[in-house]
Amino acid sequence: MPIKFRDYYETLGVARNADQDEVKRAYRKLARKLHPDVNPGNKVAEEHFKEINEANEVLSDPEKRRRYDELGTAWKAGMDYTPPPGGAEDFRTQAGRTRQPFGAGDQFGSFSDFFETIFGGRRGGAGFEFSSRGADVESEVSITLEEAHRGAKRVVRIPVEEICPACGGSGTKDGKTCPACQGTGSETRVESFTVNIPRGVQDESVIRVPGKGGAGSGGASRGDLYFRVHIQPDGLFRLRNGSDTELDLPLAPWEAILGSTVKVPTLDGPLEMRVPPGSQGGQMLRLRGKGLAKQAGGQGDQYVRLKIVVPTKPTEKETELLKEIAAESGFEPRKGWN
Amino acid sequence: MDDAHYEVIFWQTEHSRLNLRELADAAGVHPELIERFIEYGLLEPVASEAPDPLFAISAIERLRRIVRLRRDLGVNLPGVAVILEMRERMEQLQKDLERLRRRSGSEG
Repeated sequence: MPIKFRDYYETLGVARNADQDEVKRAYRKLARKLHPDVNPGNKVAEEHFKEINEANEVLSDPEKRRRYDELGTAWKAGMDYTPPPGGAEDFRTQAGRTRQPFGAGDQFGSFSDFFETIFGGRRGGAGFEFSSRGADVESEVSITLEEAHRGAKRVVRIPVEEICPACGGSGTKDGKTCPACQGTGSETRVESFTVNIPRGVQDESVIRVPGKGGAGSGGASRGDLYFRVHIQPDGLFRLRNGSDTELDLPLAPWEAILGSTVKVPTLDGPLEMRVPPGSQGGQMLRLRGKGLAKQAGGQGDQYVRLKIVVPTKPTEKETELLKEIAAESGFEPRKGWN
Repeated sequence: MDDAHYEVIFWQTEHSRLNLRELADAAGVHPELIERFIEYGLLEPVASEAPDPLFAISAIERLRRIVRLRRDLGVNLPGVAVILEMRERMEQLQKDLERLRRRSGSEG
């Protein structure tokens, strides 16, 4: 697939023969103007900032700049760029693209495909001086309400990029392209481990598994792995206020009028609940401490919303009795209306 | 294939609170550096009862922002304080502007 050519000189607004100081000055000036932290909510500035970062990464490094200049001056920004054959050792496919947790990482530094085509992945090279620790990786895990209540285990498999043991990451062996990694200098291994999801985990909470994120460069530690927990909607219970559950309880009119004892499901199993006489539809009853487990200990409450349901096909006898009630009853449900 | 078990070391929601260690861990900043930021008034705990001040989750992003401004733009701590304050004012103004726009839109 062709990649769009990037004109780094144009991005920084410097001449092709600009010296290192000019590049530095141009970059600093643009960085001050476009830095995402001084441009809240401005996506355009953020994109632009990434571009100038990439341009600076190349033009401020004499070695990278030399390689970039070798591409020649015929290119214009946005042109389709197809890498010449033979440059294949520069290709690096990154197993598992990484994201910063919550989209708010430490740097706004993802580079374009164009950059990666010419200079390879971000490992190796002069790199970013400020961060050699591996990237944090975010993933998602979906659990049932039941699992949130009791805790759960998930076996996780993630691809890990490791330095190729055959060539030590150089990509070449005995003067030839390393046969083990085809010159990428890295190999992908699938790592498997179990994550314990604690009892009482809340929806949208984040679980952090330290040291299981992306590999660090230069012997630095690995990043962390983050799981955002999603509690799947349950057929019976709704969640409110984090750890309270809510449930609709269908009642026959006479159960609501006369009061009754009904079996109500809870996350801990069914429970006998007393519905007081004269209960109204829509009324909320509370079963204290019968909601979702809390991580700090204890449990939320279960709310039971009463819902009066009527038989749609009453028997003859029922109809007869109800007619009798209708005739006898002095109950005025709409008292107070004109 | 290694199959080790990992316990979760912390977890959070929008409403949970972090202590100094957890905050340092989450933002990748040394605890002592955080204490210095607090001295400069760059960061405030939501509950400051000794010995363990607690921070809101939003402190993580604020810390990262402080680190980035220092690293990317070479701003010193008093400078970071000024930028963060102006940034907040800017966000407030943007919100006000947005509200005014909506109001005049619904009238017209």
